[in-house]
Amino acid sequence: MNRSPSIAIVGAGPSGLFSAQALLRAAPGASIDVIEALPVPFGLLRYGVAADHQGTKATIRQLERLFERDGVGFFGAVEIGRTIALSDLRADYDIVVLAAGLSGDRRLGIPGEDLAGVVASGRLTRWLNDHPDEGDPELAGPCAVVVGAGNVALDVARMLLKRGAEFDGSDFSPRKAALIAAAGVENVTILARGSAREVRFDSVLLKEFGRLADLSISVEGVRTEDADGDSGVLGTLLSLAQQRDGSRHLCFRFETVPVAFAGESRLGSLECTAPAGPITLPAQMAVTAIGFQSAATGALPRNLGDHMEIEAGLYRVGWYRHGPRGTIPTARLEGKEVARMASEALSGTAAPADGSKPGRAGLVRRLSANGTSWFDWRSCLRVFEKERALAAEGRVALKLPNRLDFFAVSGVDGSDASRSGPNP
Amino acid sequence: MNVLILHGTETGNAEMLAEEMSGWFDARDGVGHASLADITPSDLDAGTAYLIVCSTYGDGELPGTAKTFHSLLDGSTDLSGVRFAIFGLGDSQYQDTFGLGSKLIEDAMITAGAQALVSRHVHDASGSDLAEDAARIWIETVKDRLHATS
Repeated sequence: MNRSPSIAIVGAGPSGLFSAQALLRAAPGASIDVIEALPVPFGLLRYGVAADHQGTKATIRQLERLFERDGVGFFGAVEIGRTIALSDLRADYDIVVLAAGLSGDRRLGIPGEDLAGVVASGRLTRWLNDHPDEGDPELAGPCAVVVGAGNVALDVARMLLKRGAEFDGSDFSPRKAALIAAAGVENVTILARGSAREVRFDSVLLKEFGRLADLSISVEGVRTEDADGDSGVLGTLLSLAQQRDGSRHLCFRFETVPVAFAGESRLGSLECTAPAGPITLPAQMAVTAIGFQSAATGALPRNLGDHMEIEAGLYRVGWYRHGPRGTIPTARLEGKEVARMASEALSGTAAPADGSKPGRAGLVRRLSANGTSWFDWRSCLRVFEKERALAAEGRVALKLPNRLDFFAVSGVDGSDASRSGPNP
Repeated sequence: MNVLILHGTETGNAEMLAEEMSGWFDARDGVGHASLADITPSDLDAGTAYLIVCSTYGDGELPGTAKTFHSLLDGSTDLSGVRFAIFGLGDSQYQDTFGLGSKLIEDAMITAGAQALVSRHVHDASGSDLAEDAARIWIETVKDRLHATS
């Protein structure tokens, strides 16, 4: 029996979907399915890219075509390693590409990190984006410290400082905007361990702060020799620091190392060391934005090295493969690379594919046998339509905030929805 | 009349739109599409109309696949007789650099002597309309010019 080759991609974030896009071209005629633990696709485009960056999220429109027009199958709320074993998926598909991402926050590893008021940036970012597994964090003002010197720190600081109409055009939840406003964060310090020379901010993101009215900006810990005549990112930052007037304040503090979160029942301050000696920064809230690692509860194999091919017919891409580095464009390039490897494997003499594996029909059979209902693309469209309809004044959408809503809106049987709820 | 649609892209949005556009021409237009990375200015000829779809990336920079093409458009390039039109992709959230990538290409093409068929249009990713819808309207103006002059 000779069917067309079948390809399963685990994870519907940018890495998985760019891989699907490239595979459509590299392996014409192949049947491609994308399997996602959450009900709906788009991963970090939906749940990572900040709510006020709709232009960046617009890449979603490009990727929607996979399901809308190109015949790629979608299986949402299906978790490989939990709902379906990876070995079963391997038995059903000629090629499996793992693009499961990386959801765990890297810990700072200093005393007090578990105090109320300390929150990790991954968790906070998911909450800001209405990820269905994130409940409300502890928000408190007037002083917040964001530990980390990358673009995630900038996103977090901006979302904490923006108010009211500054969220116009976004899909940020008005309820969450109100919670942040009520917490009264007025002073945000972005804390960098390294020197101002080493900043990894994108200047285009820095410049966004320049457009917030009523925000003053300062820098601390910049060495005179570093500041002189810098036309790059640091130059951008120093020119922003001319912005003096505002009831809200943002401070970039360099060469300052956090030593302990301090407080009785909840966070009150952050103790640090700086070149001039120890300092204590008042902080009712702190966000650690120092990178990501694999979540402790992940059900897929981890720590396999970082090569793309795990074994014949099994590949992996994106943050799941090489850790939390790489952007939307690099995910696209990597997708092309895995597509090239997989199509070579499919056409080569030592092909893992003889076209005899059942592909989609096999997956549907297994899901039906264990009573699992899943989100197909039509169900997702009902969710998106509802989200646009729920948009408040000034917003483009309101994302459904919990899993049960997804089932209710889509009509997918959610009687067993608890099976893939938040990790314990 | 030959039409070649060229794309300069970083995240694939411009590439997808270029592919889409190629489906909007009749067979008589002899349409094709290619990446700006796979062509040099000296490949351009007067018998073909070039439609260029180009995004902006980072802080008003050219997308990766357009950089080499642009760098080869220096003072020595003569594109007299070459006709082109540019559809840019931008994000008005970054107002200082909105559509700069496509503008850099347009300026260099004009400096080299090429002739713009219609004015450059920049689609706004933060706007409410889809790039394809805006491009459909724009491409009709391009076709009108092409069929009027060919």
